[in-house]
Amino acid sequence: MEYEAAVKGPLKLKGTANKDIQKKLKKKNKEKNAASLKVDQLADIKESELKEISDPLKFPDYFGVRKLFRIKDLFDARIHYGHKDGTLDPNMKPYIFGSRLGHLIFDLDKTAEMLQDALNFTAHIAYRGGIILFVSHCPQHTLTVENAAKQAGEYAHAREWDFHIFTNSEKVYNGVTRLPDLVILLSTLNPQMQEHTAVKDAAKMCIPTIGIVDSNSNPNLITYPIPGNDDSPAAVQLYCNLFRDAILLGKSKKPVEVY
Amino acid sequence: MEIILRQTTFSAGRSPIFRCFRNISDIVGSQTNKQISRSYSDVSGQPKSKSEIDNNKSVSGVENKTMSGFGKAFEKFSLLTRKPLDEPDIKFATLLRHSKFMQLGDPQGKVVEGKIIRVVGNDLYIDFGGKFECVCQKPLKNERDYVRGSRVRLRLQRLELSTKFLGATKEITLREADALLVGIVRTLFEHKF
Repeated sequence: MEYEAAVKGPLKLKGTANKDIQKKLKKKNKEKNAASLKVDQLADIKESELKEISDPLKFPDYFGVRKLFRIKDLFDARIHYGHKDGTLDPNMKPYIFGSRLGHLIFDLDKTAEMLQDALNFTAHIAYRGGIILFVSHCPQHTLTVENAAKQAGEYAHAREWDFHIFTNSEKVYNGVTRLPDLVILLSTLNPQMQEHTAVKDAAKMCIPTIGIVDSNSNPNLITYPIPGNDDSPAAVQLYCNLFRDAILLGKSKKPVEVY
Repeated sequence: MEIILRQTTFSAGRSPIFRCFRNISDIVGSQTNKQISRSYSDVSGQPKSKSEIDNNKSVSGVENKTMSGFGKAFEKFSLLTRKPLDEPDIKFATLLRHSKFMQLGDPQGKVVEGKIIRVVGNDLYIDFGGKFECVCQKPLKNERDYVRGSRVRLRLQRLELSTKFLGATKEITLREADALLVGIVRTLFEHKF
């Protein structure tokens, strides 16, 4: 009878006399489930909570990151403006909608898709307690970036990049250092119009990067490139707000630690 | 599905009176016909994202709260007054086609209105809605008017200063626009003595 109960589930017997038997069967099933998962912590968690635990990675948008923005918001923040034809990097051609009298326009439909992927990734990293570093070298946007990082409870490096920060961190900081789990670049170029060192260094240290790539930038080394304007203050403010909101969304859900 | 009944009564010399019933439930009573009220409440619901559906414990769907009187009327009319433009995401191609940027055409010689966002010594940094801001010298006439936040009129030359130098394959940008300062935007009610 016990074997049948385990296979079919607890017996639904009529009458109050058999409630004791049902309780005993339920207890045995519980113990078996807990044992099969081989975790001591689960014994403390109630049965109802077990049902709520589901793998966030199975959902395409677990944190509802797509609701953070609309294409009109991107448009109003001037994200579709690119540089001129003459400064175009050939790797950016697939993301360009067209050129209007020499001025390039980004395809916001593609940008929106890639932005959603990036924000979703950020939220997941924040959910799992990862360190996120905002990087930007444009002096105009230093304050915006640093404020966003502060509000998100994460880190920012919006000044001149020291070359050995990632690659030789133990010597620079005189001790064992934990490198960031994600680097968000608000602009992949430094003021000298060359590729920011963080792009290469993060790739060397196997740190995933999210980067706003303008029409004159190279998206190749960036894990989650977001084609869009990185020069207008309105655009940078929008990006900062979106990343900050994604991080806060990720942190708002408490993960259950299952080892 | 809405079931509409109409009763028209014609009486001598008077205009026809129409009575429209949107649901049988209006006549009979909301509690008896739950199926019709449920389908109505499905229509009122906003499209749910996949994550919301996945996170919902109850798979059965919408919970029916049978409303009557004011509540029902409010629900009905809130649907009617919802603007269609607020709901669907406007396509980028449409937004671009109807934007000021397209309307501008060739920026050379066009007069636009801008706002001063920064003043550094004698230089004014003016934002006119383009990718970059332009930098103009503060004029000697009416110096006091040119402060951060004041609206000015500009004659655009170029939206971006980028040119190819001798021997280079790529252009170099200054990340700045080029415009001539025409003057302050003055409204009817401003008086300058």
